Amino acid sequence: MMRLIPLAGILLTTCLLASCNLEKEVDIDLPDHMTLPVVEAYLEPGKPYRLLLPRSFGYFDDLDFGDPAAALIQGASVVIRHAGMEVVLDNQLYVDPVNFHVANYGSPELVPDDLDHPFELEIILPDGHQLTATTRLLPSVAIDSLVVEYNADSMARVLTFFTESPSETNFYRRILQFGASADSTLQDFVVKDDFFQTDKGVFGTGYAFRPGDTLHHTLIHLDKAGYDYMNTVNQSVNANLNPFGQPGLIVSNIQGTRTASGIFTGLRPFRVMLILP
Amino acid sequence: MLPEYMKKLLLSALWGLCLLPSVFGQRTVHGTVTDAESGETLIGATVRIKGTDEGTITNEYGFFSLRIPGRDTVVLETSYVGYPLTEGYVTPETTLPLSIRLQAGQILEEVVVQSNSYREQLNSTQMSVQEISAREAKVIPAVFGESDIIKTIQLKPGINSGSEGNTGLIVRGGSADQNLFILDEAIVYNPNHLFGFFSTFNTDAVKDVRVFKGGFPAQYGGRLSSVIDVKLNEGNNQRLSGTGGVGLIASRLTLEAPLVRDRSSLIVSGRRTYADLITRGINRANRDNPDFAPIPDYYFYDLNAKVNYRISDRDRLFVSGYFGRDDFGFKDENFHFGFIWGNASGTARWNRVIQPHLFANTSVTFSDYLYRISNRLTGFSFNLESRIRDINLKSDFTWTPDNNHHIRMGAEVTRHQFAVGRLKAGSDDGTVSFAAGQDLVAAGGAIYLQDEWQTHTPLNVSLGLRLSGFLQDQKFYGGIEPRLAASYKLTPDFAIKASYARMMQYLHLVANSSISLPTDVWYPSTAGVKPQISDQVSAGWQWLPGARYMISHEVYYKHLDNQVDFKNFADLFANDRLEEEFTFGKGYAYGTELYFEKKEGALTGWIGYTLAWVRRGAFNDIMDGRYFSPRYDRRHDISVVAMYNLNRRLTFTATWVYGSGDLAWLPTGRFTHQDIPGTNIKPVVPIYDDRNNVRLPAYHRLDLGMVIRFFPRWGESDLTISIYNAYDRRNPYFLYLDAETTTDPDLNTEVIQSIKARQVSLFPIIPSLTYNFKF
Repeated sequence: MMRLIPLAGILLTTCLLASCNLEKEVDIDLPDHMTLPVVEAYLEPGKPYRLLLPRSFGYFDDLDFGDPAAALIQGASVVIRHAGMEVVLDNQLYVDPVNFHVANYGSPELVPDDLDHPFELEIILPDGHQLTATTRLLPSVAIDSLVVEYNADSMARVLTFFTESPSETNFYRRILQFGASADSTLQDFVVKDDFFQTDKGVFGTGYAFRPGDTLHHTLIHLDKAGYDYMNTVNQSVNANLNPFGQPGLIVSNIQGTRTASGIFTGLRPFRVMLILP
Repeated sequence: MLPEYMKKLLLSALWGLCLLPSVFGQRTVHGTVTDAESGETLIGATVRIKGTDEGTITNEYGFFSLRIPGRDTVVLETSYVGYPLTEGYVTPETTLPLSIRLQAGQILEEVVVQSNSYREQLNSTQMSVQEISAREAKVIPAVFGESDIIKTIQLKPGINSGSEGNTGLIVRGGSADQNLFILDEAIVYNPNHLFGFFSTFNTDAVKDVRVFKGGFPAQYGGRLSSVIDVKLNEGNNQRLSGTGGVGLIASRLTLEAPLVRDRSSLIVSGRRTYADLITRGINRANRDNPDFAPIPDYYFYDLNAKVNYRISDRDRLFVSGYFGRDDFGFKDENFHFGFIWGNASGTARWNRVIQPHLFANTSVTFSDYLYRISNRLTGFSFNLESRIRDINLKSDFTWTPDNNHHIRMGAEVTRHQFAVGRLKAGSDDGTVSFAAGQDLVAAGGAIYLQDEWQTHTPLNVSLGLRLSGFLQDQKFYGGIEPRLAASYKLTPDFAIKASYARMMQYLHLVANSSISLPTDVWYPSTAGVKPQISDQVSAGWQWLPGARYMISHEVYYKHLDNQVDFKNFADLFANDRLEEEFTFGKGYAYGTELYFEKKEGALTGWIGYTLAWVRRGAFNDIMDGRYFSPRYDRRHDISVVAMYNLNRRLTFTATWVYGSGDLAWLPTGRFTHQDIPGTNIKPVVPIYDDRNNVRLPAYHRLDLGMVIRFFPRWGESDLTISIYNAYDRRNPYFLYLDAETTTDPDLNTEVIQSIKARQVSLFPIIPSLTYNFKF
């Protein structure tokens, strides 16, 4: 028996040495990808109309990083119709210097705060194909209260309460950002209210904050299209990295004479900033 | 060595004796065949009238019934794998029932019978069946040295694992939920520990495993693709004995003893992992270290217990039970997370010999599978659980009116109770409350009849019929399930066989991953969910080129109807309207399996090769109804298993497996999602097109093992050294596409630098050491 102990030691050492490098780069051939136009347009009342129209790439396609505009589809005709009005979006680069948000179509006209009438998008692509989408603004849902609780170690958690209607299906996006300039996102997810039994909803954090910390709470009341799009985008990203994840197709509300992806939706976020006492 | 006549004398002394007078010139002898040392009944032992082809085999309760000439003294030969051939005289005065006790042979003993089982297989109409012995499973090297019956099954042709190291079974293109696992007649719904890396079956407690891939006997039903029938040991009714082992991750102990010698025995078997004992120690040692992140607790355990009592020569009672749990938890002063899952089952069984030619088995079984996730934060709690619980009553009769007909008939009823995704969460004061889930009840039943007809010509036929039904909320489904099989012996050593079987499956596993997870839940057929149906035809030949070898070849085609899959990004987690996420389609699988086996001599083992295709389609919500290959559509599969007994003390084992790579569903394209102002950009959003569009690199692996046996005074022990993945092959577990990004300081946004495919492997070379003992 004693003679076997060195053998066991050698075996264990071999195991430990070999247990590294369980991940490696491999060459694979992916099937060809048919490039899609991708639309991103969020209508926020009081803000100018903006629309980003890039295209998709094959997964391994090289991109000229010195020329990001190459990723954009230029020369399309973009129109948004609302309550009998027609807004034409010009094809030029718009950069929001505060949020570094980019659009390649836009208009100086502001999005009206009108919940009663739909917004209709029509895009004629340079190749003649037409893309369309329709959306409505939804009433924003207010954050009722922020409750701060400290534990024995003087660490705080924050509970975000809001009121909702359990009799209808609602969709929400919750964003929690940290720091005075909100540059660190701690939570960002979408939920639907299928399970809510009362008219109170709550989002919470762990005991992770100290007095003086700044938290930015955002609650967005989404329409179903917005929820489906965000949900499937998030799941697609996760499925690529998760062996238990099931991939799927991104659900988009962009219709047309050719396949496209993206989202055209309203945006009325409710935002609260809190500096922890 | 004893002289031959002394051997015969001693062997006949082991028989209990009696005779039933017969007015028809023939009489029926019946009895049981058991192991002489432990009293365990032996399943599938051959009892034959010497010098004739009249014979039978013991059923799964060790019982046999055979017609013999009324006035003559006959010699009965009894044989069983691993035991010497024994003979005994039956005279008109012999007392019935016979109690034939076989003395186990030693490894390498020349007279040990191995090949006789080949002869029985050749004679039988049954095809597409694999028998696995616990003895084989114990010496075949396994990951972390934990021997596992299910992983041994995966080395047989036509059977694959769902993924590396996983105990899920893919049998002839059927999905992992289409396998019926039976433990002492009770269904096991999730036969996995540790996310499928270990099965729930403790090899020390297992007596016999039969795997049916096709040609299903009529007494089995409820799943489309396979039946894995596991019988537990009954317990030594002669003396106290035990087995156990200490391994890298778990230890086990089995004790068995007579309660009343020759009449009643008890067996208790337990197993537990102990990684949690180490991690708790590490956590305690770092309690005051603020930078230390505590390691969550994880362990699993299972317990088997069985007691049997022979009430009379005609009646015998068995009660057995299984209880297993996996427990994963994390706790600190603010956070209390727990995740438990496991099976429980119980069986009460009554065997009665009604007449010498009529044997009855009546059983009541209980099965339960549960998972529960609970979390508690100050002022809030979250509980999610799913469960399936069955109670089943079954009566099964074995009737042998003569030596030409072996008839199985019976009936069963089952009550199923489901709790699907029961969610309860909210604040302690009740102002915030979430709830979801469904409670469902269903009932199922079946009657069956099967005649194994030995025509005493080269042609043998098996005709069976199973009538099944299922009721859920006033919706009734019925099914007629014919089971046909025939064999034709072209020569004494060569037979051709064919079979057809229809199977109906009324329960469906809601699992959105190819990997078996504890959170997979079972869902019944309802008004909106039809039962799954399979029709399988198989044909093949079996050849015994010598006494020690067996070669078989089968081709099969399986058609699958009402297959359940899930819609795009289905929400299977705590969903009140789960059925709305289902989509229904069809499938088919075909292939061929070649199998060569040697069971006798110093070198034993097998070589299996499978060439197979699987397709699924006609789902309204998947790829516009087009057909696609599931992930496990492997074209080639080879397994080579060799066990070499150098001498009584040393056994060497080697296993090599090769399989075409699994399919993976990888994105073909990507785009950048900028998102709303103020949020983080997603530089790479994958675009997925058709399912399972890339084939992963091939899988192959060599495992080596060595068993060194010791023979101390108190019994026997061994040191099993195994090396899993001996040449350290990096087999793909999954592939992902990795985008390396950097943050552009000017735009404060992420920019893609490069995109690569990366392969993740699970197990490198893993040596392990297990100490086993037996007394």
